[in-house]
Amino acid sequence: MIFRRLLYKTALLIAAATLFHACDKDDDSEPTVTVTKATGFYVTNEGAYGNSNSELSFYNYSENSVTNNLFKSINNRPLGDVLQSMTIFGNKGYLVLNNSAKIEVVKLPSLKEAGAITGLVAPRYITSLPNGKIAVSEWNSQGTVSIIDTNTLSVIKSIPVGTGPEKMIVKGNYLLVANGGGYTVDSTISVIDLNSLTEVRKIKVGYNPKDFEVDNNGTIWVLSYGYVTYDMITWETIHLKPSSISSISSDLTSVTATVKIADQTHPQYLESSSDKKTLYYGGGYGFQGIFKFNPSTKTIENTPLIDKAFYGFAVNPVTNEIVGTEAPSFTLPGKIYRYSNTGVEIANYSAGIGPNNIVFVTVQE
Amino acid sequence: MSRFIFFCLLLTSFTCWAGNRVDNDGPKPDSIINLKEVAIVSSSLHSLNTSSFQLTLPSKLISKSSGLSLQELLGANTSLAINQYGNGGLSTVSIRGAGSGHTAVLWNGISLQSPMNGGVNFSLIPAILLDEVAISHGGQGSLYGSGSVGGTIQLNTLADVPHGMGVTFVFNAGSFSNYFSGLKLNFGSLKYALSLRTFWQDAKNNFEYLNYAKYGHPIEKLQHNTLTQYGALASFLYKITNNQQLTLRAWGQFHNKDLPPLMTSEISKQNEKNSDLRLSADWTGNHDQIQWTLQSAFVSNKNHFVDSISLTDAVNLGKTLQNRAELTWFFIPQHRIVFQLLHLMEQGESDNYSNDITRHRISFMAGYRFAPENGKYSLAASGREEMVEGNFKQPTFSAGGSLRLVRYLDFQANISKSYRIPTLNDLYWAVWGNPDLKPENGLNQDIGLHFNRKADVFSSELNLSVFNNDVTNWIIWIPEGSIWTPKNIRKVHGRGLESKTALKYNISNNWSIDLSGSYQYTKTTQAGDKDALAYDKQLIYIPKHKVAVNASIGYKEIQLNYSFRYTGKRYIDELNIEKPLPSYSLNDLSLISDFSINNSKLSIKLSVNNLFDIDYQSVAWYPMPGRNYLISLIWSYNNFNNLTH
Repeated sequence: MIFRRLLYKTALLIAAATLFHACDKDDDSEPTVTVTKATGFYVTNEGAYGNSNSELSFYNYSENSVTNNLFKSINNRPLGDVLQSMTIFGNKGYLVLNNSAKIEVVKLPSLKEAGAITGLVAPRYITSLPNGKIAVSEWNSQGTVSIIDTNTLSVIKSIPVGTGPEKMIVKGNYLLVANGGGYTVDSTISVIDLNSLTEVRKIKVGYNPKDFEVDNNGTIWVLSYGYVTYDMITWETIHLKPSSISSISSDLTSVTATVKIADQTHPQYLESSSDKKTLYYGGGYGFQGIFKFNPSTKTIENTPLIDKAFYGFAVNPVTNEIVGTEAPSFTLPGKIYRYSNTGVEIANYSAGIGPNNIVFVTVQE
Repeated sequence: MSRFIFFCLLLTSFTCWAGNRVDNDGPKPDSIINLKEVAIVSSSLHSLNTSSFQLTLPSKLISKSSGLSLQELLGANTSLAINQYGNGGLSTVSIRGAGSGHTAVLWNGISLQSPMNGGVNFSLIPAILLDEVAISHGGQGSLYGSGSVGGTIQLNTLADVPHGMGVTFVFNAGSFSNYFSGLKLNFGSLKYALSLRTFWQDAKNNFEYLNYAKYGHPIEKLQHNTLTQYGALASFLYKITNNQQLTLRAWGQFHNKDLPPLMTSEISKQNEKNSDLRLSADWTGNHDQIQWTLQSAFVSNKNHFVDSISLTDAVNLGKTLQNRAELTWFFIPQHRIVFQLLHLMEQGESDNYSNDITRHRISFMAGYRFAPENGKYSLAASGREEMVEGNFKQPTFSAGGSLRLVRYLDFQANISKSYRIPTLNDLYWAVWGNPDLKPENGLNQDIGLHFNRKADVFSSELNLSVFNNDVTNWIIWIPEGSIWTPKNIRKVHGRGLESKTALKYNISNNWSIDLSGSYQYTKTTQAGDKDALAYDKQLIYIPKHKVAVNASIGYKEIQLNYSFRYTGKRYIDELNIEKPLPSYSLNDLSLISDFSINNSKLSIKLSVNNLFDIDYQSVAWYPMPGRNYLISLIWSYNNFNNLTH
């Protein structure tokens, strides 16, 4: 039994070494033309709320295989409760554990534990800042964004923002925060001055903004989830606010255009093609399909590129291959689907429980 | 492993439970337990119970454990599979591999299962309020109605008090600022009996532990795990005539518990409050050929859950009105028939329901038992038909009996059907509930051997049974589009072996030895679709192996007890691919000394629990305490038979 476990561990280590070898820069290589290549992607499996069964998976393009349960296999302890997202910054991976109120830090590519960031409440997403720090959005009783020193892993400042902050994006010296509404509703994005670390203004957008992308013109687009409230007696709709995509003015003061998506359906994620000429939206609980949006003509393609409900999805930043995740239940493993950029399924793989976010690993060769 | 199992079987084959109500435990700390009335084992329904594996906790053990919860009492003295969400937290019981909502829990014949979620929290039932605890393995829907799929646990609070008065005071002080105090007052006259019990408990449960789930494996002190609870139970018995009596019982309690963070988590701001009220009135008659009971009861539970991080503030209020009429007719000597008519009105109020729900259930049960006086065999059969909101459900039945093979040794066989009506949550959760759900169905078969030899010097008892339990239409919640909804889709196959043995040796007038042990093997797997990923995989949190061994040596009024419990590994994912929770063994040691002066008696108990400071988890990543200590004082003053009216 011990032998088998050892063998398993050794095999895992070897697998990990081969997996991540491609990430190492080859110092002896000639300084010729650099090509960006995606070697694989991480999948964050959130697990079941109230359990500590979230995990990290990795898909390796050269091996065409998924390795699950990476954190526990490598660090011999559980990751935590609800792995919401992962962000790669420098040679570290930051794993945001929403219901464990912490961020686990791992070395890359070994995934060996390197510390934990605590003192947070319901953290959601991380964005790296130009000054070597990171920003974490937190669903608190009041939403906050905390600025963290990655050397000391301590919180420098917590900045009050709107309700239920989700994804963030840096533009110049400003950080934009999508106030996603959390358990209630919000319809703003917060603009934070990174010098003073204060919120300088809120921009009113569609209801419950969740995610950002930048197009080929450098314009920031925000995806708003929309908002539905039901009468608890009749279960009829009381309020109905559509999902939409809006562009933000370059001076970060106002919305310049808004395109309605739908009244009744609510996508969670916004992604872009490698040339930034196409945006994609979809994913989230119960949303059917991945759709294309053309930011220059501001038009939505009405037929989905992929007609399937995904819990999360992402676009390969080099090949435009689309990766979607499926969470059929929160007791059984979910699935990872790979599609060509025209929406044809390439393959699918077993994941952990509740796979929600995908993070691509790219190298310069 | 096989050697270990063999060892356990060997061990359990010469030790035993004081497995029935024939008490030979010497002087009683509390006189009320001498009474035979309203006793579980003599109740009309229980007489039809043909399960080949039954267990009754000795009343002395219950009264000596007055400061504990039912979860602690069962955990230390049985091999039931109990899952506990941390020290003092929610605890559920699984019997014969069935689910946590599959154990019927009856208090003086009243169902305590929540109409909203079907559950019972065993941490919330203080042993001080109980006099009898009987566990019957195997679901018997015809006897105990909906919910008895894996088994049935019957709890009784006796109302009768002998002529006179008694006072009992209980005080416990344990590690982690755990304090319990309780008081029992009993008054009895020729016509009346009045009993009042109150308790109060306050515990911080803030033990230190090595948190190997966190970076750097820090030693942490568990935070936010405080428990406060208090309550009272009053009973009043009035003997109307020589053969009729009226009993009133009222049980109210309040429980306030902070829920601690998981070992992987930094904070928790969850709190739960439970307010329980249980009222019961029963009128019984005991004539030559006829025994009857009319009972009316009201049970309510208000659960208030708050999580200031997820901004949850939920109040759930479940209420049931239970009306029961029961008749036993000894129409020919040794032959009896039993009828029961049961009406339940269940109500649920919750933010999760689109409106307040009321549901009426009526069931009729008939049973027959033949048991000749020579005890060489017995036969019993029963059936029940339940109607829910005017719709008849599938009838259930059970049949079984025993046959004396040789002196002291009986062979028992039983077949019974069981069912569980969907809970109000399953049916009426706004939008997500499924009003088309059918009841879950079970079919249980068991055969067993029961050896029982009682004597003044040396008594021994052995019980061995094998069982098979198939459950179909098992309700689970699955996602469907953007919602989750419950469906009757799971099939489960449980099978296994249960054994318990007991030995009592009265060496001399001063010295005695008690040994008891039990072993259970439970394989419970998903059945049905052979291509399903979870097919033939063990259900989560159900150990295949459970062992309990208790040994005690008594010298005059001093008793030294040792308890060992082994819980096998438990899978925590449906596919059994994740590393299971490791097995663990717990060892407890206690010393009891009784001091008697005239009518008063002081019992002092010193306990060391988890003697070897074992690190273990009952439910994944809920830390459990290491070695801990408890001192228990029980002082009683009994002046029965002297008081005259």
